[in-house]
Amino acid sequence: MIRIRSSRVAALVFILCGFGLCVPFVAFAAGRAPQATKPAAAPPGKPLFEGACAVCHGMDGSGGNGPNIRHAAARLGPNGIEDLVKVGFIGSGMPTFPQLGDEKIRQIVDYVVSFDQEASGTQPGDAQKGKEIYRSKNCSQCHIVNGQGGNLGPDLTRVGTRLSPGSLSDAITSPGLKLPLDANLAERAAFRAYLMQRAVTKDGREITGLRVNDDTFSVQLRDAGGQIHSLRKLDLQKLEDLPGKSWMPSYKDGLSETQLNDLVSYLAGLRGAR
Amino acid sequence: MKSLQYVAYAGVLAALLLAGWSSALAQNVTYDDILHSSAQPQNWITYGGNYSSHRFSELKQIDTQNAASLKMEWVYQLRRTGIFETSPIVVDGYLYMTEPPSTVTALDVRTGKAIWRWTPELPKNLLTIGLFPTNRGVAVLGDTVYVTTIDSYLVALDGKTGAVRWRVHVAENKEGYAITSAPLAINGKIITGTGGGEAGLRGLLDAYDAKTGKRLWRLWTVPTQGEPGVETWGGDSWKWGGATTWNTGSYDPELNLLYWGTGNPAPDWNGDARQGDNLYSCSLLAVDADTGKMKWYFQFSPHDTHDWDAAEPPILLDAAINGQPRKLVVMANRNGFYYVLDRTTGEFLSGVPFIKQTWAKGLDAKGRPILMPDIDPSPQGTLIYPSITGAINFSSPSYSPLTGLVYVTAREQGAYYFKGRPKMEPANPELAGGGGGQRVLTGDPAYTAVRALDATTGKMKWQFKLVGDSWTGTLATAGGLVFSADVAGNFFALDAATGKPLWNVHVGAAARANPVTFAVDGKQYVAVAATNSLFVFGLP
Amino acid sequence: MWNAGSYDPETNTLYWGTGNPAPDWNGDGRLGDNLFTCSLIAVDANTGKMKWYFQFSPHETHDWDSAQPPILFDAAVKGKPRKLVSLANRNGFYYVLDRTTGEFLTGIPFVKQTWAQGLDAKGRPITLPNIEPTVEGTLVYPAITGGINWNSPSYSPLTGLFYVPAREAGSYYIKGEEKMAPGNSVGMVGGGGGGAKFMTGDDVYTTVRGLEATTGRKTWEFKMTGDAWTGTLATAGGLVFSADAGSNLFALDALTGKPLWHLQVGTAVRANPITYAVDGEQYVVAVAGNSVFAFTLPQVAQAPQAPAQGH
Repeated sequence: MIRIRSSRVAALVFILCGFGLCVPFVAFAAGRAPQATKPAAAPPGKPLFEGACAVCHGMDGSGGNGPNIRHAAARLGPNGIEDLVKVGFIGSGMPTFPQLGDEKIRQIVDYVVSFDQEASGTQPGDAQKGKEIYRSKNCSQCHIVNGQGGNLGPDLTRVGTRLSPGSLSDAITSPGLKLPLDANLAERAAFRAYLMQRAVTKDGREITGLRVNDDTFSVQLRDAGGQIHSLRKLDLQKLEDLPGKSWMPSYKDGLSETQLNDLVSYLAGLRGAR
Repeated sequence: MKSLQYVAYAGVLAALLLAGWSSALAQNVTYDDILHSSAQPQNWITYGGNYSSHRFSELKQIDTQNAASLKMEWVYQLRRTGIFETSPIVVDGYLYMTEPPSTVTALDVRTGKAIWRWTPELPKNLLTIGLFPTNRGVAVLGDTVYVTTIDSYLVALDGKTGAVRWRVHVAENKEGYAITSAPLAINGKIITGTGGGEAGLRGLLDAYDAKTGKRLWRLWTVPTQGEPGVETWGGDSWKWGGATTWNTGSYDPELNLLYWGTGNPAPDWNGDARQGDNLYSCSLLAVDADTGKMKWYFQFSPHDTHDWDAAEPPILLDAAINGQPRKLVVMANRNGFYYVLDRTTGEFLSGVPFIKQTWAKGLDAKGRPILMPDIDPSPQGTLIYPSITGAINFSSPSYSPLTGLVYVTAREQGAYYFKGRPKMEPANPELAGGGGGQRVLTGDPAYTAVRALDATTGKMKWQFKLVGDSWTGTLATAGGLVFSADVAGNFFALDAATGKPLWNVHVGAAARANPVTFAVDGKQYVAVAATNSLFVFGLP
Repeated sequence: MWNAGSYDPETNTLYWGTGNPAPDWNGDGRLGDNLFTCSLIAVDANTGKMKWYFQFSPHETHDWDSAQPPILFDAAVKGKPRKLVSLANRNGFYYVLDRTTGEFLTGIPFVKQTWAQGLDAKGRPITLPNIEPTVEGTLVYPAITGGINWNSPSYSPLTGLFYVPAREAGSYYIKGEEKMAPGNSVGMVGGGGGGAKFMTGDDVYTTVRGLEATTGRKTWEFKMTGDAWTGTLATAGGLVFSADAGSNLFALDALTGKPLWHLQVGTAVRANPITYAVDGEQYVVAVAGNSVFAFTLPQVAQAPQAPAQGH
């Protein structure tokens, strides 16, 4: 029997392993992360969310039967979320909620939006210097900020709303350790994003890449060049997960503590302004 | 001609830094690729199939002999309801399409699985006056996907991830500007018009730098005070003249001219306060792609009072007229006439009705309609053919250079036209187009048909009649086929030479989109957006 | 009783499954077995009187409704012909009962479960300690959505197999308030008092399993990626139709589970496929998203049909 200490902690696990940046839970529990979420007075949307939404999206919005919606606000905005709650989502099991009415729906939306605002805190370093480190370490080779950069790693345009400074720091020093759920597309909500897989076709071709889609009959991998490989499972002799692997190198030794703090501060400040 | 090899910023970075990790990046569409689209028929590379808007594919794996055995390959379903009018772009196994109102989705052509999806946040008080919140497709250049949004932005997305590269404000949605059309990518530039011709605004056509999103030029389609043409607008009616550019145009790279149709003058059904021809509404504009200057215009329906936009995609083709080779632009117009113009000069060559029309005795030597009496909308209603939705609307015709025929989905329908207000109330959604409108003749006498017209004369070669309405364009292929659909939800293939039906499938409800074809791994597919799904067919 | 039941016309008996006791995840205010929740009940169709009941999950606190469609079939058990009713239960066990008396004959897990040591001779679960929802969350298999949910299994008398769409997942069950305020519902869960946090990611999967109908023994399985909500359809053609969470409708060999055909229909099939024939042609029909899809075999050497022609 596995028990976790509290649902709040459970929520944090999910916050911490946000978009492709990962943190070992132990490190956090040891008091490394400077910021925990502040329990405010229960917002009116909370009981509504737990009644109407949690059955599919989990009590903390981290998903399950339905997708992880902790960062829905970043992707859809409040209007987009409200729209979805009102019109549903064809074929996904997401119904409409005509009985709730506009007021309650808005309260739910506010609550869902609040999921996206949790990761913030005291920034440990100098963001301006951090920006320079981001540039000098060629982070944009693989990461996009405000539309600029490569696409092998996650888009960091809003990473500051997703990850606390502590988890950002862990993600930089121990990349690939723990993968978040893919919240980009409803149909792959249950999958871990940025999972690396290795496929070997029956004719001996080998493809290693990040999993984009995986269903019973096919898999799509994004290779190091960014190209998508669409593979039929019938044609494969092997498809294996490469857990813990990441194309991102660890910067554990490549950055001084000050530099790390500066970089973390820069990333923590990325909150989606265009 | 310039030959710029456009490579987006990220592409450069990846190529430099990841060289050796992988072979060349896929789905990098150069201007040259689009110029020679027929050389890569596996891709559907630009909205109209090529710059000439032929919607003709050199693919011929599916042909008249085997079309009957077409079967469903995969289906992509929308996640929410909406008006689904997309015409997909396909590049090297990726299919880029739009979902209503302004979502872009990249699909794996082999499986139909989504690779990424991008949805903009739209304002709550979105204005969509006289149009549906939909989108008809994207443009691709380099490794970037360009889309317009219903709130009048032009957005550049990373083709592999959907990440936003830049986003520019084309026009103010609060004033009624809304965009539903696919942009056009030419040499380093992205061209887009806007809709909103019923909102009380002035039409415009814009060019943006493909790399940066910087606006390079703007052409207003309604002249302002002091400009030539403003005298064709009574009083200050030019201020809300309309003449929007709400469909995708064509491009002649040799002449470096864009051909773009313009919509109705406003208010739609009352011309009293806008005496004159109302330039450049209901016209075809030839626009210098470098400067945005109008080279020539041809107005199909001067002082239009029937909402007969000239937004239909113009088809560019070269053919002999009276024994002389000519560069032509042809258009099956919403007003019921099929026009052939010289595309270098705009000279009118011929124009014949391709449906029943009751508003013009004919066209004069310059192509100007000779009007019948009493055709204006009236308080009690005036019966005129064609109806407001027109002999053809946004759905694209196709042209097969093999048959020399233009395939057009033609609507045979009249309507009682009712007069609205003489003055526009800008951005008033309750008075779209100034009020007024139509009551159509319905029932069995109204029908649509796929018609094959001789491209140079407009003479009908054959027709395939459909029950009810149709809002589907046509697709012609080198396999000797024409694909289209009817309002009942039948997607079908006709023999391009005879119009004989060869295959059909019922996809559940009406298609309101243009079919496309493409190939991957040597297999040809035909796709059409219908109801809430993109249906893709291939041979067993 | 929120799902359809079955009917035995010979004995004029209805077989209907019942749902959870309320509130779902807090049993403190409803001590006891909470009859007739999470039960199968046999009802006289003329009078509505209950003939017998069998409670699968007494004092249930995991929302394991027993609303799954019961399958009626006749087969020999230990050499003796019996009239049977079987049910793959949301609680993770596959049950075979005598449908005349309600007598428990067999029950074995058909998915991973961590809440019961097993079933006693009468079919009552021997529960493990510490399976109750807690404020902190208690991890238990199966998940709150169950080893199976409302989607229907199928049974082929030709193979003697019971085709169950099974879910392998666990949930953290979270305890809420013990009192219900009747009618005070805000949505799916109402005043259910608590809920669950799902196990997610790649550890969760669904699978179509061919179970020997009389014993529940697994003869084959077809593993799927993701969380499917599709029933199964078995045919005399030796096929089992179902769909995966990745929106693939497929046909399996009913004897071996080998996949024979699949088609991407664009969105998850959250429904039970059916089949019928008209004019001698067999159709398979499945609902996905906003669409109904119908499939037939290709018509060889038949003139193509023109779309309806007008005028």
